[in-house]
Amino acid sequence: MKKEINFLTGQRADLEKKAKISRIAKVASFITLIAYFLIVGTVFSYWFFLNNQVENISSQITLKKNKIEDLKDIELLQVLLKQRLSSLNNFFKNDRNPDFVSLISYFENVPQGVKIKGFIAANTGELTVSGESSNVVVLGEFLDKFKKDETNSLFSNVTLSILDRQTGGSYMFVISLEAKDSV
Amino acid sequence: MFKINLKENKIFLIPVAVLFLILIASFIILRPKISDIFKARRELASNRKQLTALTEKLSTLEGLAEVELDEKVNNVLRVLPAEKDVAKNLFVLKRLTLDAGLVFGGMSLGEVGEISTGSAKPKLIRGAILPSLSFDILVIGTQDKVKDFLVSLESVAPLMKVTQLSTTQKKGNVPESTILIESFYLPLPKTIGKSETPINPINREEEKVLAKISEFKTFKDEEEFYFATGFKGNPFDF
Repeated sequence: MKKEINFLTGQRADLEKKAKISRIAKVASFITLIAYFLIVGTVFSYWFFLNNQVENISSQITLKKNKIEDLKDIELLQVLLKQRLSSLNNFFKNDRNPDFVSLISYFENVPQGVKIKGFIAANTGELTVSGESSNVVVLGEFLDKFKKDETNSLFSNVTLSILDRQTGGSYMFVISLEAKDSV
Repeated sequence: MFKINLKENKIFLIPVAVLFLILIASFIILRPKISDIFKARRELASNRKQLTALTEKLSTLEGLAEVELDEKVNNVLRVLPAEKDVAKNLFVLKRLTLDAGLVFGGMSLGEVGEISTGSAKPKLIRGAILPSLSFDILVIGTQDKVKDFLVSLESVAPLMKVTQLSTTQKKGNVPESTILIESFYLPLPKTIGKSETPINPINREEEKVLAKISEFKTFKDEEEFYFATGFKGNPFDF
């Protein structure tokens, strides 16, 4: 019996496989290319959209700037007002000074026999009072009053700096105090 | 040696060409465009921020009434002038002493420096909040009158403050007081800043300050003062 061997069948299968792969490669390439163009198109569109937005906002900015420029006088007034009020607020909040008026009133009401001849009060808190008392008892009373009032809101740290007996029997005195800031 | 058989690999030519094309196009076109997109996004974000700031500023400015603002500014300038107004201060001090019933004994000025504050640089005393001018005045009168003077000085325009008070009383004489006074001023701001710089609103504390200084007394112009008091001499000759 005669047997036939077909050598072409294997070659054909190989060719068919190659053709199939080639077809797939072509289609895949085409799809990839289309996808790529789509991506590029999207990127360009987005870039175009962004540019449009930037231009649009830039024109709005120019418009607003022009309007603000027209209101420059008002802006200047507001800046000036803010500068001054902020400085004044800071000044009123932080500026401390002794209560000069209350200090004067305090030294007006001294015991009989004591005469205040002068006093110097500075905003640093230094306060010096000089005066004369007719005798040592009155002076003692006066100093006691100081001691008692030391805890008040006007002054603290009372120090008798000078005490000098005069020829007539009276006493000259100088008292240093620390004036408290008025709130 | 390694050899590529073109005939055998012909089927891969198209995909390779496509890949090559994609790579080249990405490098030449897509990459710069993506970089442009990032740049545009940054610019857009910055522009949006600027636009928001400008919109807010514009709406604030449109909400401000010029007449009312002008009135407020005049009020604060009255209390805190832009320049060292020596003459005005002298008149106000003299007027206050007269009103308190004190005798004006004399005065001396501290270092005045440059008068024009447009060019002058204000000197701030260490620890001071505002630049000032110093005046040393001598007044003769009772302590009650000095107290009246001190009280009225606290609420008068321009803003002044007593920094030192010394009183002496010789036997039988009326007390003499030397009062060291500082009068404050503040030069105008040099610039108003960029257009997108926000407008700082006046806060509640500052509104209170405005209300407080609105009550500060102002003496009329120097000319009226001359007429009212018959003062016709040299204003510096006290």
